[in-house]
Amino acid sequence: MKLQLRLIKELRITMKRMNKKGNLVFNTLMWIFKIFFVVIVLFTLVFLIRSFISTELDIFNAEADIFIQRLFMSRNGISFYDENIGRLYPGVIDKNSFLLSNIEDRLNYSIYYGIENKRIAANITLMDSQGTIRSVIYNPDYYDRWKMLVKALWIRGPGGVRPKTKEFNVLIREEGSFKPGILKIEVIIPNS
Amino acid sequence: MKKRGRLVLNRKAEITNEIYNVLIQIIIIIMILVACMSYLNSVKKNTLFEKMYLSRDVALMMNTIYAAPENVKVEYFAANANLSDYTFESKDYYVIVNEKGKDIAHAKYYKYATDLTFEEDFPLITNADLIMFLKNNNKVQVDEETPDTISDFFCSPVIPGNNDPYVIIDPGHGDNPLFDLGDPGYVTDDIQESTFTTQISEVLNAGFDYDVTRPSDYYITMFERLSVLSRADVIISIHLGNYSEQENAVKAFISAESEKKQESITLACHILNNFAKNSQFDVAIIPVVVSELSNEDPKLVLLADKVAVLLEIGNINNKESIELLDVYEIAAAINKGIKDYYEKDE
Repeated sequence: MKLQLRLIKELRITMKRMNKKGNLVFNTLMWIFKIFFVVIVLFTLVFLIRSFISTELDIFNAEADIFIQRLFMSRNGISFYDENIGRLYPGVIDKNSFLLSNIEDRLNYSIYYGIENKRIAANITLMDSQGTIRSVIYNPDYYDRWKMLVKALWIRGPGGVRPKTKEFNVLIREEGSFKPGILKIEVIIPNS
Repeated sequence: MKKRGRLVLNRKAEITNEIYNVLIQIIIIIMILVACMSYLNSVKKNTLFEKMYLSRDVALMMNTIYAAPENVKVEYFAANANLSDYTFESKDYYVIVNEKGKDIAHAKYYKYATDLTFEEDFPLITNADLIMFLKNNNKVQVDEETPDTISDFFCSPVIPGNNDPYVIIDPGHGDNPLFDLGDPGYVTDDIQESTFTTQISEVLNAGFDYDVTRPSDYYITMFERLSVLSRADVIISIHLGNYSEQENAVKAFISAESEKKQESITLACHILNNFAKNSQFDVAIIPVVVSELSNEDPKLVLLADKVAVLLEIGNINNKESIELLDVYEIAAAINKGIKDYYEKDE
């Protein structure tokens, strides 16, 4: 009986010791978990705040439209400009001027982004009822490169490009007479 | 008793332990809150977005200024940003926007396209509540304020030839009894075209030898007018415009087939520039092929061997604008235009 009581007593002591160690381990584990949880909460908060703050500015459409308007409306663009009276005729394309061999240089000169233009490229195609009269490439070096990337629209960030195509009904001026035509402008701008 | 005492001691330790736990947790929560608030504050103070926005916007504005077919003046301000907190400059066709006093490493850049046929002046702007963009003839200026005023046309210099010209003012066909008083385009409630143009020719304070095709408001045929005009060196024909309600312009028609086309353009240019200074009109020079006009077309007065301009002023169908027309102001613009053409002093 005495032996039994002693065994029970020793067992209680052992259990008590075990409980103290268990508590320590348990508390330590809880603190690791709590710190881990706090870190997750902190990151979640930062992530949530950041998700509501957008510093991205998408000006692709505005930039492409202004470029197209510049081709049309600028005195040194592709529309017919009467130098005698200083009047521009937007939407009237002088065929002879459009067929000039130096038109690409002229456009590059009047819409000049620097020696190397990594900002914008375009393909300007003039068509009449007979078919394509001429395609003029603005910034041909980069147009050819970016044209390959146009199909890779899944590249959303830097490295990708976005195209914008517009068609306009225009008048083609040829030796004093006018005939209807279509001007197709495809602008490619890299993502920034 | 002993057991109970041990139990109390245990509870005290647990309570103390629990209090420390709670305190540490409260400290951690406070630390998180402080970190969050500090982060939010840094976001609030961060001007990255404003700099990106302003650099892009100013670059697009430069592109737009160059895209405009005519001279243009723009007063630029940003509704949600104080421009005077930033510096603006242009380098290698980049608009560079930075916070005042900050290192260039903090600046934001955006590229724009210049036009090499234009002279460009974009100095460092450091303290601007608004930025002025001015495109005037072949120069683009960007600054806090632009000293130059806009002129609508660059008037090509010509040698007028006769320095003592004989100018004939043609105030149109005069009151035609065939037109009803309610005939739209010729008469409004208060203004009759023929009376109005007669008044202009009457108040013209010319510093040159001049005459009119009709001194008062009576009907005169095109043949009679042409015979008077054939004696002129310079012809100025005055009409009111007759267009859809919204339009309000001063149009100067010149003959595309004239021997003195360039002289006529320059004269029209000087007259329109004086109109643009005094009024809020749109102005335009329009060439016409006179040989293709009908027999009664008023533009037949644009004789091929004369310096001739036909002015269409305002729009008789735009009642609000027509009531604002001032015959003295119009006469002064025509008078000054002719003098500018001949470079005569006031």
